[in-house]
Amino acid sequence: MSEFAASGGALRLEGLSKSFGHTRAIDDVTLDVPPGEFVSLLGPSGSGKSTILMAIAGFVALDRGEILLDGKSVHGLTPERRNFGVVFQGYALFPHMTVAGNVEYPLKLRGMGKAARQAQLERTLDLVRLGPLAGRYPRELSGGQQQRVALARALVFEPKVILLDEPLSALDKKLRLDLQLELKALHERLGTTFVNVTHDQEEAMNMSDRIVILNEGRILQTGGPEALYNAPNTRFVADFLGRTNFLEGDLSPAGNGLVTLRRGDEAFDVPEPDGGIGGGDLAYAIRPERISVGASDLAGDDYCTLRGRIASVVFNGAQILYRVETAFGEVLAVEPSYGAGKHLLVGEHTTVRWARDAGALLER
Amino acid sequence: MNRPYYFFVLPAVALVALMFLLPLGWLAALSFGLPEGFTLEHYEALAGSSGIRSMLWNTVRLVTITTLVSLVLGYLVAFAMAHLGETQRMLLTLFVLVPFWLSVLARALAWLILLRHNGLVNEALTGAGLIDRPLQLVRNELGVIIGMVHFLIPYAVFPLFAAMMTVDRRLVMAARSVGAVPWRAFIDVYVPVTLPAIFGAGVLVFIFGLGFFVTPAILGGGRVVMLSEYISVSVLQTLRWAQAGALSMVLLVSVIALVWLVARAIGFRRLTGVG
Ligand SMILES: Nc1ncnc2c1ncn2[C@@H]1O[C@H](COP(=O)(O)OP(=O)(O)O)[C@@H](O)[C@H]1O
Ligand SMILES: [Mg+2]
Repeated sequence: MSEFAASGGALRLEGLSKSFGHTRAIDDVTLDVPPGEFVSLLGPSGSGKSTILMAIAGFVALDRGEILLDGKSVHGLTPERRNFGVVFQGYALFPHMTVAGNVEYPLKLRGMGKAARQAQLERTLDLVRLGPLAGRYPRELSGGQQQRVALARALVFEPKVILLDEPLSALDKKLRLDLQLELKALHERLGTTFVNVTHDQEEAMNMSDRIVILNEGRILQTGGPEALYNAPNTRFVADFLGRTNFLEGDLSPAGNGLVTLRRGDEAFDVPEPDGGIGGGDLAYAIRPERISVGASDLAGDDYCTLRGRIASVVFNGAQILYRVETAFGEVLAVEPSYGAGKHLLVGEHTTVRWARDAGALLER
Repeated sequence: MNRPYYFFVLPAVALVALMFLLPLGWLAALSFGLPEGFTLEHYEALAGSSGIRSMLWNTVRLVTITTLVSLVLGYLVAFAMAHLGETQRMLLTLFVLVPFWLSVLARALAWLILLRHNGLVNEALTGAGLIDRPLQLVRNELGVIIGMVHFLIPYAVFPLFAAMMTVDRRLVMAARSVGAVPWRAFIDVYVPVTLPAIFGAGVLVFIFGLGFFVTPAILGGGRVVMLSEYISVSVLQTLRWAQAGALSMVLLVSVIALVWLVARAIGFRRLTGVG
């Protein structure tokens, strides 16, 4: 697909704000998306993802802020003049047009000649593997096929930026995974800038170069999937991106850059957070997969240990999930299911251990 | 399954049979010369009479014009209703509905008062110096069309409005996002998507239009005679019941044919993937 335009646009959002009545749908959002990046806006339902996307597309008038494409403001440009490819939630395919009709429509609007149009149509349909379905109507297609038509319609006029609003949320889980990989491959092939909106953290992690976590219209954290997963900056991010145990207790300085977290007669030392332990409502966040259950070989100063009792054991194929009752409440631990020599049963007394810098104290 | 409940429907069924089907059957019988014998002479007479032929042609022509005008105006009103705020929508609905609740007779007379030579409209226009002789707005086809359109607009507005409320707003947004200016998106996407409803509303308005007789009688001033009025006169005044029966059958068969078309329209709707 060498003929396909391969230049992505640089998108910059500068202090975007938008309220609907008393709802602050977008609250001072600033974001730089370099050319060709695949960025996902990730947040729970109602966090303002669609509103941001529709503001970029030109359908939502902002209260404040500026949107720039390659350094030029798109302010005052109507949606049809912004030249962004948009994949709408639910796809919004034209029901009275065939697949070919849908994909060709943007080219017709641009007054492209018939031969050139036909060539571009075929190229685009091939790109998303829809060639054989060109004559079908949208209602004759499966969800995954409809998704590809929507994508083709957004790609066919070679926009510099593609905006996708929950493009895979209507599909079943297995298909979703396939299409995530497909979308990512397509992105790599085209070099177009992709701004994707999703509430599915797995989808965001699988596809994105960078993830922007949103809540209540605000950006909480931005970063690559790995960085975000390993170093969430708030409890919200830690909880939203994967699962996390939050251990709360009384904090006291322990010296050497450590603080002690105590609850009842149990205590352990953890690294002191950058902001100290003076203010804020801190909890120690530790991922379940970082915790070992009953591993007596993990000892020493660098480890945290808690005594507990197994409350439940769930075998889910690849993993075993333990819920362990401790002085800090129930702790979830995930162990790989293979080669686990331990036979831990419900009610058994055990210990949970983890490396102290595997987790961090986070503010609410 | 719900056998006992059938009893509750019985009075209604009996009423319909007694007040509607019985007279209709009787008219149909008369039109075929029954009970004296069977003949098609009344139908032949219909086909043979140039007066009746031109009356039928006038009816179809006027109802068609009325339907088209009602559809265009109704589409605009419905579009406004579907895309305005809640308050304006309520207000607009009220404006459409209030005349709907008035009797046909009252409305026809009101139009007569407004549109006649010394009526409000002509007075205002002459008073403003826009015209020097009153316009002939009533007691002709124009008057009939105005009166019928006014009566029929709600029948166009409500099905269209209902269909428009189900149109996904993202369709027009999608059209705009790929480069369509608003009117292009309207023509290329919005209108085709609402086409089945336009078709359905058109058939509905047409059928109601065929059944009119009060409006043409009053606003046509006796000069514009349409099918239903003709039947009414045949039954009540000239007492040519067999002829009235034959005409009624023509009307009935056309309406059934149109209803069949509506049923097809619903298939058409599925065909286009809308609804
Ligand atoms: N047109 C609108 N009118 C009023 N409130 C709106 C409108 N669009 C969005 N909102 C509100 O703004 C917030 C963000 O909505 P949205 O951007 O759709 O969230 P998301 O896509 O993340 O689920 C929600 O509280 C929603 O109710
Ligand atoms: Mg949304």
